[in-house]
Amino acid sequence: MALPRHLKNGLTPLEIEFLAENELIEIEAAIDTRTDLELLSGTLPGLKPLRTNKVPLWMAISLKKKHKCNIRVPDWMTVEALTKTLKEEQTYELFSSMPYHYMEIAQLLLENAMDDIPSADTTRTLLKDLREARQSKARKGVDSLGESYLQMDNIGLMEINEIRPFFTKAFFEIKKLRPAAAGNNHPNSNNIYDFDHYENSLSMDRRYGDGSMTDFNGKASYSSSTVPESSRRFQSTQGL
Amino acid sequence: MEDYYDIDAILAEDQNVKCAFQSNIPGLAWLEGGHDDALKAGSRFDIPFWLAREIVEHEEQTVGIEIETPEFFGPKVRNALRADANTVDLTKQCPNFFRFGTIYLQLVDDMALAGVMEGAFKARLQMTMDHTQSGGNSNTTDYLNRLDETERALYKAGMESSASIHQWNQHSFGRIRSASEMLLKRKAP
Repeated sequence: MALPRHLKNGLTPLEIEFLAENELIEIEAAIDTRTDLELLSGTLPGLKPLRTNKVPLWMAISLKKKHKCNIRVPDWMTVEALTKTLKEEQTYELFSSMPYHYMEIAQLLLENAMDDIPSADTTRTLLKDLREARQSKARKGVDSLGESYLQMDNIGLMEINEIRPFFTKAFFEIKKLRPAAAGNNHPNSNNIYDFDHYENSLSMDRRYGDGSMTDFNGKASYSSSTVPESSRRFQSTQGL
Repeated sequence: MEDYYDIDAILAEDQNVKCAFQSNIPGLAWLEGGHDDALKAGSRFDIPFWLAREIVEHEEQTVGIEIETPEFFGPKVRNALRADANTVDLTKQCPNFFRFGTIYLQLVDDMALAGVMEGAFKARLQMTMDHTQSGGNSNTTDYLNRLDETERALYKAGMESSASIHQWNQHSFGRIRSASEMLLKRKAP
């Protein structure tokens, strides 16, 4: 695909933000729509004042900008919850469980609905600490890189998108350096696997190109295709 | 197999290696720079790796050559990489160290070298990753100069993604800015 290089690595942060805007969030509307809301993604029950409704984040923000609703802070984004998660994050080796889009949602809310968040500054600081703690965990992933796959449960989409270009490239290089895999692509070796292997590497390239390496449970796994280990190796000295 | 059109692979294969020819070859003395007709057996000189590989792999194997281990894969560099991979200046050794190493190992059996290279790559990876996270603020030129081309590409990729997240955090996406090319032009006299 003829894309500029910065778009080849998967999604841009803005695209991820766009995806996150589809998440549902609770609002207290100040208007009465009287009818149900017909959206492309489905029908939402109509908004009524003094009741909490679940609407997509983009709608909540749009209404908020017109001063037609108050946004309820999600459970995980309260100061107590964040403090608890941060503690967990710092104690355990695994990623603590956070919503898949937590960074995006938090950022959008802090940006657009500051007055609805009690002690927004503390929330912001906590989120930053949390992100740093998680980032250093992702960094540790580099150490274990080189096995057949790398598992990071509970990692957010924004976080995985950040490390994706680096990790996939590094993973590919390590695979090439592995003694078992290194000798497989000999141009002149007349083994039947050659074609297969070429196909393999092609499909891998394609996989690196798009962002399909995450499934949508917030898990990331980089799997390597198994490469046949038969090939002719040459000694440096070949006699007459 | 590497992509046929991959320019980096082509450049990596262009690395010179020292080879010793084991038989006389008529008409090829110019390779060595001489004016005689035949290339003498036992002469040693640099030829590009792709040429050496073609000779070794030639079906009839009419020409016997011996590829000598290049200096940058020699014991000195190996020990340095084993001791502390982060301090080795790979650009000085061979700009395409890891890339060339992979294709070299396809031709030559050297399990020890493969192990050293993999270990070194992993050890250096951590450092590279750390530097991508620093946002380009810290003084990294010293470190960057020591990276080989593969690692440099990695650094660039990591740098770009962390920079784009940083931009997103700063809400600077919506703003209109002059293109980087324009800024370069303005600086030029």
